[in-house]
Amino acid sequence: MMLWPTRRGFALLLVAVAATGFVVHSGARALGAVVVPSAVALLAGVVQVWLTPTPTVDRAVPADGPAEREGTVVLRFDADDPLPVTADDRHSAGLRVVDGLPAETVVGEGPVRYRVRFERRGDRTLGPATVRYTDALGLVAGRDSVGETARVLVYPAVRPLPPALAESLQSGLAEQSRSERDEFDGLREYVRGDALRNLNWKVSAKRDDLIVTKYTGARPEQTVTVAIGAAPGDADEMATAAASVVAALHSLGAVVALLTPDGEVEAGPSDPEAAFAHLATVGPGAVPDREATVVVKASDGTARVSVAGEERANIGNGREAAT
Amino acid sequence: MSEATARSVAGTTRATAQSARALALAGVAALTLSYTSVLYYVADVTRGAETMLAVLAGSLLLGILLGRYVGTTVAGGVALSVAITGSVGYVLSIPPDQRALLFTTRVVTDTIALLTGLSVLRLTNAGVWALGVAPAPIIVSWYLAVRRRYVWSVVAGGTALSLLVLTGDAGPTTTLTGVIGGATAVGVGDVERAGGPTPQFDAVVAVVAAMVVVTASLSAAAGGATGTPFGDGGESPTVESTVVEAEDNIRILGSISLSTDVQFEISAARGNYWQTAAYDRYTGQGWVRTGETTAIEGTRAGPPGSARPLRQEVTAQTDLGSVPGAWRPVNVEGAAVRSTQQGGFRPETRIAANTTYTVRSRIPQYTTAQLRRAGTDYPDDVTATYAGLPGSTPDRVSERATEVTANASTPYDRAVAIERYLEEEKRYSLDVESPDGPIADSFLFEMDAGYCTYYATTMVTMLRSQGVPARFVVGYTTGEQVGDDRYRVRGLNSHAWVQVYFPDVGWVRFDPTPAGPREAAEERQIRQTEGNGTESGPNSTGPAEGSDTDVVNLTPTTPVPDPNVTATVGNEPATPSVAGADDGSDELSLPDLPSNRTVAVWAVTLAGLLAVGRRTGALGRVRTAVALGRQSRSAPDADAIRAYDRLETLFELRYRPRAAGETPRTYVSTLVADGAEEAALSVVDAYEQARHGDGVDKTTADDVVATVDRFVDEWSLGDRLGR
Repeated sequence: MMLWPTRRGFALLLVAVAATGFVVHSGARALGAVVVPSAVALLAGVVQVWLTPTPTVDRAVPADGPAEREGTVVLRFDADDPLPVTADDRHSAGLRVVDGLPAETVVGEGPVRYRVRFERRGDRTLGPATVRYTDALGLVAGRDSVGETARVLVYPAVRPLPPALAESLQSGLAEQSRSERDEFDGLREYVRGDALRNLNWKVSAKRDDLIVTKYTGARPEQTVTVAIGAAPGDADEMATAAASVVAALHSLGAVVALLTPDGEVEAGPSDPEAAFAHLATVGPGAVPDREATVVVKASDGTARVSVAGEERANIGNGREAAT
Repeated sequence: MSEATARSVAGTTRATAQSARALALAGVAALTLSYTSVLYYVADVTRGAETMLAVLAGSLLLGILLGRYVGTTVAGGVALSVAITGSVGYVLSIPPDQRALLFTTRVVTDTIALLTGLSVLRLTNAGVWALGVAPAPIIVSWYLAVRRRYVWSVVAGGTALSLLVLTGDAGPTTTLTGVIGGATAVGVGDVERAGGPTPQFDAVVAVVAAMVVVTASLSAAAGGATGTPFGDGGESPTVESTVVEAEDNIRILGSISLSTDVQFEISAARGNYWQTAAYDRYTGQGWVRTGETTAIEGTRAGPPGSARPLRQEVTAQTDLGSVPGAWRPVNVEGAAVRSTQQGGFRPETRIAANTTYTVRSRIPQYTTAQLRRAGTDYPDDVTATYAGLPGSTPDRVSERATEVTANASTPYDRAVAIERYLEEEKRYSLDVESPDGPIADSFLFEMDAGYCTYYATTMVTMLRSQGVPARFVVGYTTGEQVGDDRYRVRGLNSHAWVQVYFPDVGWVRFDPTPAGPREAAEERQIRQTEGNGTESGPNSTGPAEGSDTDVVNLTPTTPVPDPNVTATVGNEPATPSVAGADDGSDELSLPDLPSNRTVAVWAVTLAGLLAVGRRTGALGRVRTAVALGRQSRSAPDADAIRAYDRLETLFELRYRPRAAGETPRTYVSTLVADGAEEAALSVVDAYEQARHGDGVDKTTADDVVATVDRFVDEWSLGDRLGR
């Protein structure tokens, strides 16, 4: 616990010292009745703060999520006796408290809520909390560290892709799906709603009816390989670009096989966290497979995204430019 | 903290906030009271009490109204203009000749003087000063208090109190009251602003109580030592010594050890009273000399009427703090002196032993007829300075003076009548109990004996009540003649007497102290001391011998004991015990009721302990212990019932309360630990028999009580072991 005099306590100390000075200089008069109570008050303040038990805290942090978003942290303090405190919370770089702290609260009365903004991707921590309280007369203040740190994983920011890139991804997917067809499973008559693509013209001409080709089972999900790499210092741009691409691909229904300098991870639309979690902490390095369908390469503050070998976008410094 | 506690905290919080506000305002009120009481005292001494009350009430009202309706800037402006008005008023009230001395450096010097112990009463127009100073702190502190800015309110009031503490006019009790008030306001104010919970409130009470107790204890413990922490304040230290029987070596401002030491030897053609100082302002408890000293310019004027010169050569035998000389001194050679407003001289530094200086005086020459003829056309400044009494002087003093002077037609005859009356009616004694009330009033109506300061004070008071200007004078009587024209003056020749003003004659000496008894006492002193071969005699108060102080406190705590007893240093003070200092008296005396102060300190201690007790849960534990503890025995039935009640209380604390509709038997058998069922149920049986059945006999009752005792002991032990 740290202990120090408040502004008030310091002023009282000055008064007591001045009074003692006057006593020494020009006689006691009734200054004893000023000095003694002041000394008692200050001493009592120190004792009271020293003896104050540390409260406990229960912390609820926002879920892991992408940067440039806000979340709410809830702190529930508890102690045997209600204690008015000023509560504050520590946090690592990459997070920023928007409002709500420091909070004046009474321990045990209600939770402290504050909003925190995820600024940059990475493995971040919140806490420990600190409480500052004073003695009864407000002369001496003490501060305690309360509780543990909690971990929050901040994913890279996800941004809308430049239109050119989005289109090329979409068409690329379509083409990939065309070349990855299901097995032949027979013919049947056309029913409204069938994909026109599957119309079998040859047979239909012969039958004088519309016939579609049936394919076996559910179509397997399309997997798109995305390989990423970055020059040292450009990992953030790479991660942001990659996250945006992964999000776009997920919204198109594709599973992404992510190849990064730090390893591989596969994630589909139903369980995207694995990819983002990986991207949250991925570092720079060479692109593992230059032949991948989508390649993200970051250098000099810009991430270049290529689809099927052709560069489609430069994403850098928050500015998006299509090639 | 459980849900229930949280809810109750919220509920009590509102009630606490309201009572907290009341208590915080009470604290501000106590602080206000502390410094306004001093200002009121000054106003009373300078006969402006009613005006001061009006100003105080008006300021309080103004402060509160401003607080409710007006913003900070406007309120600040109002306070500032009030303060400026006060200062201007004070400056304008100073007589023009003295005012010329007032430019910036003077203001600074005067302020420094005030801060280093110059009593406000010494200011020329102390009354106007007090009126000027009073409104601003009251307005500001109450404005802020109404706005719930308690800390700044206390700062405002505390500044005023500090000023009065530094001038020495605020006594220890007053100061402590103010400090406690301020601390309460600050502490409780925080509780109120936070809408805070009770434990903080308890903490405030405990700390404030500790402040009072420690301060009071320290003052009591140090009460006997020289220079107490509450040292030589304007208030009588005997108040401190009522807490504890003090040993007597308290130095009072204005009093010094009176001894047979030779102070000086003086050569003069004729004997006289060697005056050292005159005092003009009476406070009820003592005398104050107002006004500044000025540098001498040449020889001063003598008395208005005819006068004979007298040259005196004074050889100091010890350090002297004054310049004794016959009235009226006009010139001093051989010592650096300054002129006082009262017509005397004061040395710039103490006069070293074995120094010789020369005083030239002009002794007023008059006949009785002349004095009778002098009339009552007094100069204005004389009336203004030497004819006033504090507003609180009891009427009966004036009535008695009127009675005594009923047959006197001139001021001279009045003076003589009063002088004679006091000489005859009051017994001379050095051994007196310091009175609580005003000196003159007490001496006239409550004491039957006293010494010179009492006689002199009373005579001046009585004369002033009849409109005759008079003043209190201290110095030395003539002393022992040790040669032609040579006198040896000792400490015990210190004396206080009276001077009365007569137009065209000036100040004329009167001495109401009966000379015979005084001289006899002095003789005895000398013979005794010479017999013992000791140098210094007993401690005693008297008029300021060699006094370089401007305030004389008349309440003695170190009287000389009955001269028939061997003199020793460190006597019992006459003040505290009712038994008086009658050593060897056979009277049985009742102990004093504790003074108000003692009662107050104990009350505060109790409050503090209760607060601490509640805070630490000690109170709760005490209550539990009482509920469960050993029961006192009476009839078997009652005992059995009480035993069961204790058992139920125990189970309630340990497990849960008995549910509505649950019978004692079910309750106990459900909760009781295995193995103790039989014992517990026996208690229930006995209870039911005693309550609803035929009753139980003593043996059963005994058994049952013993059983419950065992249960309680078991549980308490377990509780202590933390099970």
